[in-house]
Amino acid sequence: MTNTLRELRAERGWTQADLSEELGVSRQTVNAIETGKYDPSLPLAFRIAALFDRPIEAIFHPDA
Amino acid sequence: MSVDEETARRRYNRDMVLGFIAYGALLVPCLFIIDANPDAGWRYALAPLPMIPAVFMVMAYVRYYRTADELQQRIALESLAFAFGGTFLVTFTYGFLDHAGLPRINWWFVWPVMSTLWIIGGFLARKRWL
Repeated sequence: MTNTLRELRAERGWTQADLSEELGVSRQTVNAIETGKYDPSLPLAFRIAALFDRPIEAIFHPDA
Repeated sequence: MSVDEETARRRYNRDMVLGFIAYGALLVPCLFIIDANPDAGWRYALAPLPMIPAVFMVMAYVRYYRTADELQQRIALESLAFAFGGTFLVTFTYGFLDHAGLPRINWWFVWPVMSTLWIIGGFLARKRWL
């Protein structure tokens, strides 16, 4: 799965630490999601979508 | 690291340090008293006393991973699975070698084997996910 989390975070001028605090996860977890090494659970994906006020499918995309 | 996670980590570190101090404080006098009274029946009740603070350390470990986020829990699970399976392989292999005639090893070696494998498993899991 790919995602646009890094771009969305950059739009808000947030660091990974800022985003991790908003989501209640570690900074390493934010980095692992951004680099595509880890796909978040559905509850965490919903939290991310709610935080950026977008539908999940606008942030996460299945691999082509 | 989120604020909650930092608080959880700080609490975990504090509990572990206090546990180690209590463990050491009980270990030295227990060993001394048991060695000085090799025939006393009560030495069996005294011998495991240092493990009481160890129970609190185990509780601190479990509590920390309950509050950890989903990826940290996955990494913890993979490293523990590696250590669990690896300890089975190492201890049973040596058990068969013991049966064949190699010297008997103290039970105290089981935990160092498992924790070494846990560290290796944690390294491999972090390499995969982080």
